[in-house]
Amino acid sequence: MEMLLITGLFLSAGLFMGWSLGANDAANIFGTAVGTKMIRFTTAAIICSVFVILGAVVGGGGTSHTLGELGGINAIAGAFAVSTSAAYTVFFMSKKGLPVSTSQAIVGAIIGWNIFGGIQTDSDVVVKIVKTWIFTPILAAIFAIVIYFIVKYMIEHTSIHVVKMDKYTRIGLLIAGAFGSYSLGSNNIANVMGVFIQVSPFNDLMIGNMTFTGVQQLFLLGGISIALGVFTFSKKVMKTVGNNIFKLSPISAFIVVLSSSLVLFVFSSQGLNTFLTSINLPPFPLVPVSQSQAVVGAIMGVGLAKGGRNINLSKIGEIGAGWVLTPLISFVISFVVLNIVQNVFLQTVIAS
Amino acid sequence: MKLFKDRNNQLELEIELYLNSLQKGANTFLEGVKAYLRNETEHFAEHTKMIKEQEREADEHLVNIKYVLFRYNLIPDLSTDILELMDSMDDINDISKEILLDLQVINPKIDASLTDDFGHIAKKSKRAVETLIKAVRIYFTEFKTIEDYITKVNLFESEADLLLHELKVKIFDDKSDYSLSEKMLLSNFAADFAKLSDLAETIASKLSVFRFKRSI
Repeated sequence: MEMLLITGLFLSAGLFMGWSLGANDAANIFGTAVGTKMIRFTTAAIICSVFVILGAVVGGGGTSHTLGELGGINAIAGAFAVSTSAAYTVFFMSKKGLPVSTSQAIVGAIIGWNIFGGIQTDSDVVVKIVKTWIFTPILAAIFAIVIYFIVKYMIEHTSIHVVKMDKYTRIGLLIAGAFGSYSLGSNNIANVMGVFIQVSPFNDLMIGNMTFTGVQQLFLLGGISIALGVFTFSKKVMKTVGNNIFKLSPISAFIVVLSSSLVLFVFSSQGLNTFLTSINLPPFPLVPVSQSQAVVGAIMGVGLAKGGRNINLSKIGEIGAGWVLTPLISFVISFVVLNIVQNVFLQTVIAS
Repeated sequence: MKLFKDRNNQLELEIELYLNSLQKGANTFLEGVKAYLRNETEHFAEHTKMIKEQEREADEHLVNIKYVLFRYNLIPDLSTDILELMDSMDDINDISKEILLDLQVINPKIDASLTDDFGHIAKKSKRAVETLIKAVRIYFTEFKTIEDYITKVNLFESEADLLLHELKVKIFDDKSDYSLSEKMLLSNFAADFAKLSDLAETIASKLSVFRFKRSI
């Protein structure tokens, strides 16, 4: 019982990360739809939760593997320290109004663990991750431009009544939202539970002929914590996103959600990775990326497609600063927290 | 999924029926004016009755549109524009009814030399309204071509204005047998006939703004 409590306590850092991810990132998916009253919050929350959990359990392995390559955290107290540091970085930077991403925070914290333990960090993996971060908003903008012109062509070359268009847009927002939630679950579950994989307290379960692995159980738990965040705290954020920050039309919102979700999907789909490799094409690396930055990239893409010439340079600057600042702060915090956990609480943070 | 079942179809149908009522109202207006100018009393009375009925019918559809639009939160990004559009179009039947009822009550004496002029103004007004209704239908479907219709509405309004001016000149001509009060009355009626085209132009201007919001 005591062991279970301690394990629960250690896992709580990851669960908190999951909760805050659900509270904030669900708004990027359903914010405009809920804020503009195209979709009711309850409907959005249910769809988001179901598909986030599905994405986490079914497709969460790839990005977690990459984080594992970066640093194989082998002690549960170490995983707790790393996860707490990333969570605190997100909390601290959000409070200061700085742009932050859980993906970047966890990477900085893992590198902190590597350096604390004197373990060599694989620079190839770091380069791969950073390249992906840079490519994320660019790819989202490219997807958004392509989808924008497809949707525009369809609207202008068909005589769909406004009322029917409203119906199709709602259905489109629901489908894109479900896809976005699945992609978020599969790409970002690594940030929530990735560091606990090697120290997972769960054993494989046999359900009929199916094996429900310990990792999948861990991801299910993480998925549930994301869903909790969606239900308990995302409503306000969704309404803020829908009404204040990004003033998007429902059709533009559909384009933004779909393109940013596609980005998260290509960077987390093992199936796509295998397929591209099988036809001798370079596969997309499986790396947890920032959904918010994908969304900003997609919004800029829509703006460019509409003929906008004024690219918001401060937004690009913010994203760039996030790539450097977030891992750096997270790295420092991780180093300090690992020290405290090891030397004050006398816990093993690195197994020999 | 209840939302997707039939509310959208219901709204689409209500909008269609509403526009049909307005179209019928514009037709009745012109036919009523023609009947009055030809002194076809029975025919005119029939049209006066018809316009009342059509106005009531349009009002019912407008109420239904408002109800479905807001009760089921349909087209939230465009609902205000659609409602404003539909509300201002309601004036088409209101003005048509008012003119026919005024003709019935006041029964102004229109000299044979002026009947064609009155008829032409009424015809231009009706064409402006008719074109506006087409523009509104286009707004709901192929909004890219809407500007052609808006230009036509403006053209009909200008023509109606020109005819109104010419008629006023005729009415206030020194050789005319009308007293000043009769001249004033006829001039007011002529202006009323042209009022529908003015209304069509005002709504068309709104429409050309609303269409921008329809682009993604």
